Formats: sequence, structure tokens, C-alpha cells
Amino acid sequence: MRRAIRALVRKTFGKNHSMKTQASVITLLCCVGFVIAVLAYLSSLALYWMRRERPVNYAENIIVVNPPETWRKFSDRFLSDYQESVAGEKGMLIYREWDAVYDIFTFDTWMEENDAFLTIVFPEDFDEIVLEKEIDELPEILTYFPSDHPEYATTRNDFCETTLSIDYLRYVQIMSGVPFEWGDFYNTSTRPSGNWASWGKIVKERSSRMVMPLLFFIGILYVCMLSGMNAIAGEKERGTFSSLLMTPLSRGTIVLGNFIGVFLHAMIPTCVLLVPTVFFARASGLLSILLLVISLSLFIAAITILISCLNSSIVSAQTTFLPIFLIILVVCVTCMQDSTKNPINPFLPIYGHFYGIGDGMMGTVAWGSVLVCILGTLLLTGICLFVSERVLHKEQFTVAVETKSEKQLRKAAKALAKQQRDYVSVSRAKVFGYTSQRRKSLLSFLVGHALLPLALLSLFQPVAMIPALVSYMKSPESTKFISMFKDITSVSRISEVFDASVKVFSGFMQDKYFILCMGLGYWLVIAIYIGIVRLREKNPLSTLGFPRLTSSDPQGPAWKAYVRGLGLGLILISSVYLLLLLTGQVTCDGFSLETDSIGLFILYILMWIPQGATEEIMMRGYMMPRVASRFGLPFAIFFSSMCFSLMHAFNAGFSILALINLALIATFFAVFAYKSGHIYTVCAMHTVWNFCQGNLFGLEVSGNPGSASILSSSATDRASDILSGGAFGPEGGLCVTIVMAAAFGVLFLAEKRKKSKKSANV
Amino acid sequence: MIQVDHVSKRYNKSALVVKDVSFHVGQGQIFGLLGPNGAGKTTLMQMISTLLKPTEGTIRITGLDTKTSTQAIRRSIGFLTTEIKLDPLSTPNQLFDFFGELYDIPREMIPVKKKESFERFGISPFADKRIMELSTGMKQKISIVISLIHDPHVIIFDEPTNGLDILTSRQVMDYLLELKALGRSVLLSTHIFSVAEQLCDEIAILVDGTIVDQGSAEELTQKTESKNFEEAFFKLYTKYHKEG
Repeated sequence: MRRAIRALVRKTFGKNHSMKTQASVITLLCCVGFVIAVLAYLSSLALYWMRRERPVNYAENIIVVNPPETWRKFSDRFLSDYQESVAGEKGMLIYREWDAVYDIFTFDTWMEENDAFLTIVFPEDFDEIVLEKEIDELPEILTYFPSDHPEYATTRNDFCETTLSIDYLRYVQIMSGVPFEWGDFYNTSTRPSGNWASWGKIVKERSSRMVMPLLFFIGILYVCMLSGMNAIAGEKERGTFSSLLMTPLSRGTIVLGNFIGVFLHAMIPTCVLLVPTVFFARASGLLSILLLVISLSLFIAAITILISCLNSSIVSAQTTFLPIFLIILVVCVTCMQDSTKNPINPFLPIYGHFYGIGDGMMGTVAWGSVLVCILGTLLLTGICLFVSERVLHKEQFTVAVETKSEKQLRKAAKALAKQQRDYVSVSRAKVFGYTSQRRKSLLSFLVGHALLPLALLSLFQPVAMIPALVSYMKSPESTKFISMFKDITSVSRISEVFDASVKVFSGFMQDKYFILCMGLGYWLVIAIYIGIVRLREKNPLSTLGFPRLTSSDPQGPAWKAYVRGLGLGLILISSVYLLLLLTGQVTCDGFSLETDSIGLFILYILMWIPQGATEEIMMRGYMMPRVASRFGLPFAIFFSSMCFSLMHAFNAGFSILALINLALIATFFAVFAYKSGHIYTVCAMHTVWNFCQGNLFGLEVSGNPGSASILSSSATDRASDILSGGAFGPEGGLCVTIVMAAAFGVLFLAEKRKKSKKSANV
Repeated sequence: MIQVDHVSKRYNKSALVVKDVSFHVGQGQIFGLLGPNGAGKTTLMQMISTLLKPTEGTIRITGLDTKTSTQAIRRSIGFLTTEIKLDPLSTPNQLFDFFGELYDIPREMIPVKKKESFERFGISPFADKRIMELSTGMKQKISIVISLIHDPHVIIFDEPTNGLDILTSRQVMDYLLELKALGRSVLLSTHIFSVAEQLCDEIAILVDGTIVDQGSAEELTQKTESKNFEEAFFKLYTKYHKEG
């Protein structure tokens, strides 16, 4: 038996077949991502630690932002001795004016530059409110502090709680003659807490208690999965397991041999990870870590062997193991949080291993819990192995059963029929030469097509917003906006905040970086769509509406089609503007482009080009042919137009009329694209339509106010929202409806003429 | 040596695959099971070789019951079936060593045996190539060599000449006759008439899981008043096979 077990163990170290499956690749990627996330967290801690290089002996000052008159008088009278009162160092009050009271970035920089340990921010109109005498609550005063100055924590608290909250309050009460309470007193930290010396400790503790246990877990889990699934399930898949069963070995020997092989595999990452541990942990800690990882490897190996026995292919075994893998990882994550540590957890397997490895690294071994945890784990390991042995006695898990029951046969026939139905390519309508290769289920098909554009846009737009958001936080407008969130007390307030958020977003449209980032983001989305079509679908780009046009084509080369689109778009939007002028909805105020906004103007042009193209690719180029191939052209046009229309539903001033108009425009573009067989022209039309609205005529573009515009237009007194569209821009008004109706008429007539010409030629 | 008594087999909830089969294979005898695909040959053989347990009836090999003394029986039988495959990434050398260890063959004997049997079947030139690189015939020959690694008294071969060319088939058949001469009992399943006719001392015709007739090739031919054995088989098959 010993020889047989040795042979089986050696066999598990043979060529591994399970590495190539998708499940193992996905798991590996999960593991790598997980470890990177934890390491990133740790390095961010370390970066903060390294930033703290200022000398400990420094002057401690206080920055007072927007000091009201009462404060100046108060400080002259009572804080004249302040310089001697703080830590025996020279301390000063530094006065600054700044509108954005929530601008932590600026305050942090000031504190850094001026060696200040506290910033007090008064609202600008503090004195006016206080001295009006009609309030019963003081307006809020904000304080900020860099919390990596723990030696000044007491001083700071004294200052905030005594000087500011009691002495100054009393002074203000006397000045105004009205007794009142403080409002909310905000004490905001601008950096995470800790100090120079404690950072090192924190980083060591976190890496010991989080990273090392996690690495042990991931290493053992992954290697066990690869070798364990290859051992028995892999043998079954390759048909070599029966020859093993035919040998005089008992089932127990087979299980044991494979189990030892998998365990030895798990010891490979364990040994590698133990090397750095040697330098960290002391002897007792090292011993506990060794015992814990050995018991953990035994347990995980036993689980993988059990799963391997229950499955007949590597992929199915790995798929079964994946949830267990994830559950164990989730347990690891909960172990990383201090709040979940209760007295029982360290005694349980997995939990106990995670805590135990951390304790071993830190040299705080609790042998009681470690031993109980190990014993519990060994018991579970034994149970797993026993069950595995029993499972191998069952015929259904060992020998391929040839004859299937009636029910199984019916099920198989049904599955086959479904497969045939799903995979047969039947295209109901062919747009841009696209034919479907594979049918998904109805729901996933529609949801996938409707959600893909939204998902992509919501992925990159917030990223593009980050630079704009940071600069917005530094501007005075942010003060009002942020304080709105504090006042949400009713539903109506929520809608106000929503409107305000939309306005803030619109404000970003004047930010250069935002426009630049948006432009780049749109190019990225275009690249993603090209990737989807070329790499995933393996279709030519013509199925995305970009066929290779040469000058021999009736429409001329692609650039000509694009230029034609620019012209047509200009005609369309100009007629809308003309109609608005004629009906007296807007007046043109003349030339308005200033020299300093020319840069923004150029950025706008560079942004509108990919913007128009992106929306056309999403709706007309990608969605329309794919939906049409399954549901026919009319539905595809309807569906893509509605998606396009609803995509703008979150813009300011969106109304039913806007919905209809956008759907009309989308339908026009869709029909136009379908008739021309490509989307070059509609891309250009879309671009020029948006550009002219925002940057030529100075109107709103789907709810976004235009800026850096050549002309400036304003609504007249008798303008009605129904005609002009109000805050949404012309697309929300009847004028666009009229122009689009006319455009449809022209398109219809042109098609009719083309047809009659053709028939005449024939 | 092999005693099969009223054996039936049913998988899970399906109908009976093997119905009340009984036969006996004596020492130095080659017994053939002949039947179309799906007749239950493989199931019957897997039951005899302890991989499956009969639902009803008993199977004894060298006097031991397959339900109880599985390990002892496996030590004395050599089983070959197309369902059992060889690890595609191993070499014949590695496989021989591996199974030698599993069957607990004395370490010094393994190279001697390997040399002898590899030379006999002409495997030696391919001994260090991976199984996946070898031809079907070579794979089958290696399977045969490995299944007989422990000199079993009872040999159970499921379609041993399946997929082999005439030359290799001949080699395998000669080898089986040689084993017979050595006093081994051989149970053979096949659907090739010439193999059954030439090799087997006794043939059982299996149709839909039941043995419909049994005897030597000549006996069966005479009994059914046929010109040759092939015709005899068809007559029996059409007589007993129920459609659907």
C-alpha cells in the first residue's frame, strides 16, 4: 500500500491539465486583483507615512478663514496671550479670506505651508446673521485639522471646546444681547489619523494581520484547486480513472494517495510564503503559523478531493469549488475588519487560521484557540476524506453510466433542440450586412443592448468628472451646493438637490479639463465598440456601419459622406434656429465669442466629433443591426430610438415633448443610416447638430447649457416653453418637431424620386 | 473460473440492461460474448470485473463473490475495455512503472517484464513517446500489456481488436491463444464474427440484455440450420430482437 500511495502522489505531480480551464483563469485573476487591492491599500498607508517628514519642533499656528468682526475683537482682547499658550512654541493666528468653506484641499495646503494645526472657517455673513438678533441658533463654524499631529490633539480640543465653543459664544451673546445655542459644530479631519512613529507600526500590523494570512489562503486555495481537480475529476474526464479502479487498490488508498499529493502541492506556496515569515515572527509565532498552515492545507486539500470525487470533469469540479473559494475569501475579508472579531471566531476553522497567522506574525499567539482550531480542522479533514471514500463506492461517481433513464433522455433531447434553435442563425432583417451568429435569451439580449451604452457611459463619465470636481470644490459655488445635502429633510428637498446636481454637472461643461476628458472618454468608448465587433463578434467593421467606401461607390469615399453629413446637419439645425427666430422665441444678441474662451471652443469641437460618433455607433451602428437581425427593422428602429431618447432622461428640463423629439431625431438618423448603408453621414450630422446648438447659436444642448459660443441667443419675454423647449433647449420644443417632420417629408420624397428614376432606367 | 448466475442489472431508474444472464467459463477456455451495440456486453463485463455491482444474481470468479471480495478478485483479473483510456501525456514507460507499483510487482521484476512484453508487441521503439502521439493500434497494444501486467488468471477483454488492423488483430489473437494454452480463462466480447469463430470455444449470443443461445460456432450454425456462423447470428438476432 505504501508503494501504491507513493505512486499516486507522484502521479499528482505529473502534467497538470486543469490550468487551462476558464474557471481556473478567472480564479487566478480574482486572486491577483484581490492581492493588488490589499497591497494598494497598504502602500497608500505607507505613502502617507512617508509624506510625514516635517520636523516635530515647529511653530503651531491657527488659520482663521473669513474672520468676522466679532472674532477680530474677541481675539484682540482675549487671545493676545495666545502666542505663549500653545505648546511653549510661537503660535499665531493667520487670517485668510476664502469663499469655498468646504475646500479641504486648499485648507490642507495652507496648514502644510503655515505649520498650522487647526483651520477655523466662518461663513462670510457670520456677523450679519448673528447681530440681526432674530436667530436662535448660530450659523455653523467649520474646523479642519491635519490629524497626523496627535501631540496637538489636546491643545486643539481645548481650543475648540473651550475658547471657541464657550468663550467666544459668550462674547457673541454679549455683543448681540441674545442668548442662543451653537449650531452643529463640525470638526473635520483632512488626513487619516496617526503619527510618524505609529505609521510604521500600523503598516507592519496591517501587513501581518491582513496581507500575509491572505497570501497563505490564496496560495493554498488556488494550488489545491488546480491539483485537486486534476487528480480525480481530471482522471475521470480523461477516462483513465477506471484503470485505477481496476487495480487491487482499495478506494481508501486511492483517496489517500491523491489527498497526500494535493496536500504536498499546497505546501509549495506555503513554504515559499514561510520564508519572509521567518524574518518577521519569533520562534513560537513561527511554530503556530506552521501548524496552522499545515492544518489549513490538509483541510482545503480534503475539500478539493471530495469535490473532485463528486464531479466527472475538471470544469464542473472547478465550478463547484468556486463558490467555496469565494466564501472562504469573504471570510478572510470579514477577518480583516476589527469589528467582526468576537471571542468565538478564533476557535473556528478558517477564521481561526486567519487570526492565528496574524497573531503568529505579531508574536501574540493564543495557543488555546490555535490548538482548538487545528483540532477542529483535522476533524473536518477526516470527515471530508471519509465521505470521499464512500463516494467512490457509488457507481454513479465512478463508472460512466451508458444507459440513461427516460427522464434524462427527454431532458437531453430538449437541451439539444434548444441548442439548435438558439444557434441557428436566422436574420429577420439585414442592416449593414450583419447576420447574427448566436442567439441569446430574449431578456439578456434586450437588457444587454439597452444597458451596454448606459454602462459604458456611466463608466467613463464619472472618471472624466474628477478633475472638474476637484476644481469645483475649490470654487465658492460648492459651499452652497454641499450645504444643500445637509438640509435634506423632505422629498421635495431631494428633487431640489437633484436639480442642483444636474446644474452642477451642466456647470462642468465650461471646464476645459472636463471637456478634454470627455472627448478622450468618447474615443475610448468608440475603441471598445470596435473591440467588441472585431474581437468578440469577429465581424468586419462594416457591420458597425463603417464599410470601406471608395470613390467608385455611388456615395463617394467616406470623407465625402462625412462632409455631406456636416452640410445636412447644418441645414437642419439652422432651420430650427430660423424657426425660433421667426416665431419670436429667441433673439440673436450678436457675436459673443471672447478671445480667452477660444481654447475652450476648440476643445468643444474636438469633443463633439467623437461625441456624435459615439452615440451613433452605440445606437445606429451597433444596436440597430443587432436588434434588427432578431426582431426585424421596425422594432430595431423603435427600440434604438427609445433607448437614445431615454438616455437623455436625466438631463435638466427633460419633458414628454423632448422625449418625442429625441425619438424623432433618432428615428430620422436611423432611417437615414439604413438607407445610406453606413453611418458616416449621420455621425457628422449628429456632431454638427450638437455643435451648432451649443457653440454656434448659444442654445442649450439637450439640457446642457452651451458656452464658448460664436453667437449668443436669449429667450424673449413672450417665449413659450412648448415652442422653444425651455431649459432643455430647442430639442424640447415644437420647432424641432416641425423641422424633423419636414425632414422626414424630404427624405420620403427623395426616396420616391430615387425609386422612380430607377424604374425609368430599367 | 467465471461463474455467472442469473445476473440482472438496472441503472438508476432505467429499464433492465442485462436480464437474467447465466454462463460458466472454465479454465483454459475462451468464452465469447457476441451481440450488437447496446446489447449489454460492456455492462456485463464491467459487472464481472467488479466495476459495477449486479442488481440481482451473483458472479463468482475463482470461487469469490464479486460483491464482497472485490480487491482479491481485481488482483486475479485483467480487464480491458475501450472505455478505459491511457493518460495522454504519459509515456508507455511511465505507465508501465506506475501500474507496476500499484499492482505491487517486485521492483526488480518491473524492467524485466516491461522489456519482455514491450518487445513482444513491438512497443519498445515508442516506449518514451507520449500516448497522445501514438496510433490507435499502438495504444490498444499498450492497454493490453498494462492490463496483463500482473499475470492474471482470468482475462476479460471487451472488444480487444476494435480499431486494429489485420496484422495487429492477428497478433492479439495469437496472444490470446497462447494465454489459453497457459491455462488462463478468457472472456471476450466482440461484434466481429471471424474473431469469435476462430478464437472462442463457446459463444453466447446476447440480444437486448439476454443470452438467446449458447454453444460453439459450429453448434450454433447447425442448430439454426444456417450456411455459416454469420447467418446463424442474424437468424437468432431477428428472432429475439424486439423493436422499440
